[in-house]
Amino acid sequence: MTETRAMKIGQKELRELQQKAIAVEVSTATDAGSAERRLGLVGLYKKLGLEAPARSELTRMWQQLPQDQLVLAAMLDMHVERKTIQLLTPLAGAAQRIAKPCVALRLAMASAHTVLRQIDMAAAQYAELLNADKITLEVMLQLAEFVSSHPSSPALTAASKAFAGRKVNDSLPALLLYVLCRVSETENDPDVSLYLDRIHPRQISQSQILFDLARLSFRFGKWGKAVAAAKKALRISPEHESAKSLLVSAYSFAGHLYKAARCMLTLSKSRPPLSLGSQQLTAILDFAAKQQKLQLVSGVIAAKSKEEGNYQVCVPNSDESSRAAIQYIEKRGGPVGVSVIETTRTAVRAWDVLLKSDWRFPHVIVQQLGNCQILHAFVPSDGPDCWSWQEVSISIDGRRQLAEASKVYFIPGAANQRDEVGTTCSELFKQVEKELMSSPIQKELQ
Amino acid sequence: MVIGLENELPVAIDSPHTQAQRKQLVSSIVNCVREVTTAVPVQEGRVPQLGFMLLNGSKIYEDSGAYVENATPEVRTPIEAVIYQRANELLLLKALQKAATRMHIKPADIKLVRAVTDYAGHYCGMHVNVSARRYEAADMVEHLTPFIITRFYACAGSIGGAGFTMSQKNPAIRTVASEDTRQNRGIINLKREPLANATFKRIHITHNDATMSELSTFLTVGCTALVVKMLDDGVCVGPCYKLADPVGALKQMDNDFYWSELLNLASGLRASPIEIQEHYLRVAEVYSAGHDEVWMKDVVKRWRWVLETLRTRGPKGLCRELDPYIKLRLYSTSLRKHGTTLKEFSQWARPIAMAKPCFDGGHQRDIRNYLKERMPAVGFYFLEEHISRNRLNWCDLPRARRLYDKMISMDIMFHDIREQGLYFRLRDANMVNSELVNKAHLHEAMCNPPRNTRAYARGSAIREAARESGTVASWVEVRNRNRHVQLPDPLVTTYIWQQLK
Repeated sequence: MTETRAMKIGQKELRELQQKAIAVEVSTATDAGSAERRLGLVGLYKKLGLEAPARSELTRMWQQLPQDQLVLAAMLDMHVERKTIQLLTPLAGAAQRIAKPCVALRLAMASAHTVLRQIDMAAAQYAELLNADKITLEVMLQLAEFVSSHPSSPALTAASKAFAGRKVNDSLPALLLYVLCRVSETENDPDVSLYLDRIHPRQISQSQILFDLARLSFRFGKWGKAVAAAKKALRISPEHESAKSLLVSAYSFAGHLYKAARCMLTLSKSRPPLSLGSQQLTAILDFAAKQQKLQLVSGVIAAKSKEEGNYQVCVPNSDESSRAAIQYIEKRGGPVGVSVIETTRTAVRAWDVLLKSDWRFPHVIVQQLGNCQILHAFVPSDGPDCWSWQEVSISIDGRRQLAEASKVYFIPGAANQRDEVGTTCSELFKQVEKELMSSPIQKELQ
Repeated sequence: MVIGLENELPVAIDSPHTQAQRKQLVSSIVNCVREVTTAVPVQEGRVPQLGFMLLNGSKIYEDSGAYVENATPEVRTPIEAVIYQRANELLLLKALQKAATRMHIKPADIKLVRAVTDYAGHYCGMHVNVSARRYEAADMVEHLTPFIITRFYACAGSIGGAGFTMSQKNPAIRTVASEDTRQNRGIINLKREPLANATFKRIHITHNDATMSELSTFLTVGCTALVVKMLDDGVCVGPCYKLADPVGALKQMDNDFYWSELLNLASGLRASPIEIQEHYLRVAEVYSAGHDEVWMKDVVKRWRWVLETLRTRGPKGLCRELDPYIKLRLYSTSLRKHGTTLKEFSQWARPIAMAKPCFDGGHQRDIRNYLKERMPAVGFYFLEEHISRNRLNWCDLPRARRLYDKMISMDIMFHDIREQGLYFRLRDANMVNSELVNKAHLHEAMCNPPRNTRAYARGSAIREAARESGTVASWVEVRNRNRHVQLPDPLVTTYIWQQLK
């Protein structure tokens, strides 16, 4: 861990930090009571990756200076970070007893009450903070985060009160405008749109707030802003599933169907965004089929199927889509179709459609289930009517397991029978394996 | 600030004896203490203990494991701790004479050893106690650890499986912080036993070697007390030198007589032990400059001197002052007389330690086959591998084993607290230069308590009540059937007898 840290910030910088820490340590010998100096030292320890000494020194400071507001604030922040509820409660109690808390302590108290789920008390602290003449960026940032995570809280009321009568102009910081948006949204104030117009996602750097901004923009029909905010949120937190979902919706409503389809497949469970209607989904499906992206097609089919519980309805132009898919498979030179879907039920329905649409190739459906995948293989025997499907649990992390699984799979009567294209079941599995490992599918999924 | 020093002294008997006899001798020595000075039995709470609180405020008792424990009275300066440690030892030597006569053992055959190992696989302790007002030891772990393990002046030098090493106590350490002093010993001891009222905390530093050099002991006690005092005053020193693996560092430093081998820090950087000590010293110098206490200035002056000397002149520069370097010179000379070197001796140390249970050093024609038949196969494999890797000769093993035993005897002799002990003979031959106290100090301390702590009150109360029947004492009380004195504050020197109902 330490090596990683040294690699991350560099030996030279690390040494400079240590020299600074050494100098401050020496300076504490003359003035051990200086809370600011020692708090600075705690910060240096953290930068050096010395978390335990930082905590230890802070605790010692608090024992020595229990009434010092900055020390108390730092202690609260530390336990908020570590979510140590047992210690947070008495600390918050001690902070409450301080007559005129400074901004840092109020902020720390607000965070502490939030972690302790004392939302009213946290809101009260924010209200006090907002009453100050000059609201710092730190206050706004924390308030914005609070409001975004507790949209129905009394904090909004407090914020609303604090903002009452405040004139909106371009000089207001984006975060403040964002808080205003949230306040107005709760109060069904039409000014939301007005505030939204003045915020640009580039002014905000917190992924949660960006996502919330995207949500607000989408809600008020500002597709472009929703796309920009969601994209930036995803740049900061690439795994933010809700942001991905929102981006799919925003793209589709903005008319960027291909992008929507691509984005949709990056969702870990191919779950369609709730905001996406059947019409948009169908449009994406058709678009993906026209683009001959089988994976997009199957992903959207799975998503749609999941949403509506009926596979067939999501292939309105099934002939065209299927033809495109078949062409795609043929272009790739393989007789095996592979779809990635979510449920067994979907798999069965998928086979129905494949049969009805004169699908004559053996097809394998891979069902994602956490780290495991379930292989649904549809194997022809004597003709379309005799086709059957089986499922075999396999692990995708190695060829051997797959080969073994295929042995388990083969049922008497189906094994070694040749289909029209002349592929045996074992060859079929080998091909599936090859497909999965050589990963055009994986790549498309990513 | 109140300082105290505790020593557990193993007893070695040269003539044949049983374990029971040794134990009996320890009890007898402790019992005879009463005959050489005014003392009353110890009673902590309701539990009587085999030991005595002495007129000079000290406590001498039999510790578990058959050690004589010598605890100095509460003192205010490190030099007083050194004085009372030796004064009590002089009392113990008088008691030893009486006990030996009583048990029909020649006094010359008994060694009372100031060391933290008996070289029979047991570890005892030299503990430095420092009072604190604000913080417990647990609050200081991060700050104290780098300091404690890099105190080269607190090392005594040792003979072991790695040859001659810096510390006797290092092999016994298992963890960074622990309350346990027997099995899972830690660098920092977390025991909470204030032995005073609630406003006092007792920082109980157990990771020390028992050094013979007065300068070593003075620095061990003084530097430790000074650093604890600084930390207790809110000074922040040490965490920027937090070690990545403190227990591993102990092993690493054991063969580093120059104290210059780089240790891995938790931050990803590296620093030498001497650099770490210098940092603590720099802070201590700044701190002591702002305080009037003379002992602090004395400590930092001597601390600076030993550091500078080690840095500029290496071990040679301290070969008359500090235990490990005195021993280094002494043992090197001795080995040279036997036609070998310390390096060669160190190479033999490990195979000897491995073969020790099966081989007493007697003459064997084919030592390899002799050991192969007696040692476990795995043990023999490693022994053979070590011997071939270091290009040692099997036939040298018996001679090396005899030499090894001799060196261990020499080390025990070095720590013998009698005037015939090797250290004291070196002192008399003017080969060491580490004396800080004179005989007048010692005579004064043998029968007078320090005047500026509660030890004075305790000593005075003991003087008054020693002849009354049933008088017992502890660190915090002197009592008998009729009256008692409470001593909750280690700094209060006056006392009032209170009648018991």
